[in-house]
Amino acid sequence: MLELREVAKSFSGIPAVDGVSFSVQAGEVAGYLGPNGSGKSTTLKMITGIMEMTSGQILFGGQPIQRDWIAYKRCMGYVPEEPHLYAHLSALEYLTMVGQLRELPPKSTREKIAGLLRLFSLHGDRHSPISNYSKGMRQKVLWAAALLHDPEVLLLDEPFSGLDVGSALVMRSLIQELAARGKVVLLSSHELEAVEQVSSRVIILHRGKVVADDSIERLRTLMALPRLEDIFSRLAVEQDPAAVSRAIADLLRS
Amino acid sequence: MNLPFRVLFREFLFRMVDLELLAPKGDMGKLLGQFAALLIFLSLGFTLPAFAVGSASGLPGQVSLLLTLSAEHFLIATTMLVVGLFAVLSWDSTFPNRRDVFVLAPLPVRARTLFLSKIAAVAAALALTVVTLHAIAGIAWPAVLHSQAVAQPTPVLTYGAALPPVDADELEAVLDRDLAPARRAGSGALAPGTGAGVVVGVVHHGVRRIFAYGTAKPASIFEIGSISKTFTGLLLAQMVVQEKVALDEPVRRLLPPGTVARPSGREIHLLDLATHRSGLPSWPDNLKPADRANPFADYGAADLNHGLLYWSPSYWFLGLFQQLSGSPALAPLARRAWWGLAICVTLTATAYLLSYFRTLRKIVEEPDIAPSSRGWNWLPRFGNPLATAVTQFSLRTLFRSRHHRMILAFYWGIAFAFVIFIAKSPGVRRQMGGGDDLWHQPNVPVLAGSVLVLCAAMVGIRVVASMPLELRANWIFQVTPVPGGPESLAAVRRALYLLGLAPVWSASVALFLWLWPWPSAVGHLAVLGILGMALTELCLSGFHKIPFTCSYLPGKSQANMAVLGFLALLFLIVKGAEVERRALDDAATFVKMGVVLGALAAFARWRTSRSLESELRFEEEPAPAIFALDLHRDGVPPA
Repeated sequence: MLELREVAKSFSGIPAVDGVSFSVQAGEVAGYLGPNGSGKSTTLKMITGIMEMTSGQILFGGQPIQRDWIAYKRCMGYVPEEPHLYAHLSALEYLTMVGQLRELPPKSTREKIAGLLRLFSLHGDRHSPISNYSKGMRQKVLWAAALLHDPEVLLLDEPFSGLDVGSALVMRSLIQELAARGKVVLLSSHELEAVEQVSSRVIILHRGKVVADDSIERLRTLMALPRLEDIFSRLAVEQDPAAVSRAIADLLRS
Repeated sequence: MNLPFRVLFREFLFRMVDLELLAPKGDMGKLLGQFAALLIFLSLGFTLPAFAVGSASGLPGQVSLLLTLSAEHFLIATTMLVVGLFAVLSWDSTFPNRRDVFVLAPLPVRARTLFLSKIAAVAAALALTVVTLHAIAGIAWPAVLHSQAVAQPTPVLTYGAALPPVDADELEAVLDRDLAPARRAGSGALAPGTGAGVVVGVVHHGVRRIFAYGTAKPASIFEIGSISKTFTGLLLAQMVVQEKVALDEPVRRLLPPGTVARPSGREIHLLDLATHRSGLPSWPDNLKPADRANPFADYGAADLNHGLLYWSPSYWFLGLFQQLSGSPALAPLARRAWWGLAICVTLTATAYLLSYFRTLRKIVEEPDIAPSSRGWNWLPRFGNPLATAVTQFSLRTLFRSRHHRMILAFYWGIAFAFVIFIAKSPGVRRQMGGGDDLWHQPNVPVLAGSVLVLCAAMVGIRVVASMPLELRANWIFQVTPVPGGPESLAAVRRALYLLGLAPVWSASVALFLWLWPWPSAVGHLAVLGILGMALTELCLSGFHKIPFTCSYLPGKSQANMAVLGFLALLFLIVKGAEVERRALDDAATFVKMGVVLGALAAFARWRTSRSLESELRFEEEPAPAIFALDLHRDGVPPA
């Protein structure tokens, strides 16, 4: 189980994440939603260990993750928001390096990399430098790097970004498959339809604070709204979209 | 100038060095200030000899002329060096790159404006660099040389007073009298300790008389040397009398056609040769005789135009400067400078035109880094998985990143320039005790040169390894279980061995085992190996990073202090090479030297492991402008 207790992060005294608490069980896919700047990516970066918390605790398996970073990172997989990769390496070289950094057995890792590249339709381009890849191809490399060591916790930050429809459907299905095999999955995305499809539960963040944490069904019933999009708009969107769009159009004409 | 041009010009000028690539918090103003301070510091250094020259008065004409030419040549060569360095450092900014095109293409900015502003920015940066370099020296030297300048008319030939004739019978007495001051009383040795000897022979009316002094014996054999000048002069006089040649005949016409080009100034005549007033050097600077007993046997007409002057562009531009100042003396060199300039301008214009008409349109489609072919992907393992990952990553980054390779080449280039300077400059060679044969025996210049190359390779790899390739991709090292302690230190050490020490040491193995007797070669290779290990530890000190991943703050580089450090290092290397040269001939001294070097390497390694941090660093933080003292009221803990 992954658990956050009163996790907070401030930048120059300005809170970006403010006392966030939630937990995700093994076999559960939790959707982590919020408008731009609400603190989703910051939370995920703290869970990965890239960013330090200002206060609070993050626990995995009941233990604070800082107690043994190395052991925690061995069982954590992360797909970041932006596809930043070492573009001078090929996909094969990059994944081999990730396998070495994770100290995976070379022979089985080679086979696993070849299999992942084939299944992600990257095998034909495995020797080309990543600088030549499209955004979708880079996203697939990120996915392969996150899954290579069969992690227990999967942290996904906009994992469908840049993927074509077919690949996005595969990834949605894969998330459900991994959850069914007992993985902890935390999914942050702006694609509410996808989140609604794969998540059993959603956590909605607004201005760094959790404003909702429940199953989608219960939220629907409680708020008497049919779609996740409506629930999200009610809880986290402050502006009236129609009024703002009218104001923009008027401004352009002036 | 329209507004887009001005905006782009300013943007490109301040982005000659891509600071954004190096560090998110880098200070461009500070970096440029450091460069300017370094150049002004150098300019001041160039000026110091000018003050010494300015304070000296009444210098002989030849000395003054030599001084002027030397100063002009030095300033020209230094300018060329700085322009070369500028070209290397700013190469990536010379042409519009992908980012320029990506950012500016959607905006209503003409490609022509983009292009011209880029050229203008490069030219302005170059001009500023040269002007800053000559900010002090460019004013001081002309002022000093002008104050020293005195017209140097060619002196009129006059005959010296003839010595009174000496009868052959009295010659011995005259020689005894004239040589008496140089001879030691009793032994009769001439200039004791020098091995000097003189033999005079006279044939008079069929009677041969031979007088020997010093170490010479009547039967000693001498190289004829300058005695031939007397014979040549007599033969010339005879041929003039016979009207076969004239004294004012240009030498050029007597040589095979095409050997020497017609000079734009005054011709050299036979009389000039006979009276040693031609201005030609005593020896060609490219004379390297196979047989020293017959030095000109393998020196032909083709060698005449292959001297250093003709192959060194700095001398061409000295000739050009002289020509523009109204002196035609170095016109053949100036002609080469004009040709060189024409070729450079043509190539530059072609490169820019190609960039404008072809590359600019295709640049978006091309990757920044050359694609790797399938065959070159394989690399061996380098120990445990972490060491393999770090070393392979470092190798691939260095081989595929032009930016990093160019900076490394800059360090290698400086080292090679100094090695060539040490090896080719007769004065420096003599000073350092290098013999005539520089290559087939251990000597100080070569020992110092190889150590200098090793130092440059290690420092260069330390510098480039500190520069990131793609800062935003570093997250992968942060989310994978990379331990930060001794394991990562060992992995980075291996990478530095491979990239810094291994190339120099391997090349040294091939070179020295081929050229030198094997005991000397093995000895020096052992010294290089231990030194390389010590240097690696020095490079690792405070380097708690994976190569090519951490951000870089150029403001911390202290470039001006680095120059002083380099000069001190050069001095140390030369002194060390002198010690090693002696040690290579004496086993006991060599063992002592090895023990000292080994102890230094062990100490450096101990110091590195002592300063080890538990976590790897991925971002260099600038030093804070304000340091908090953490003072608080008694009993109130700090927040």
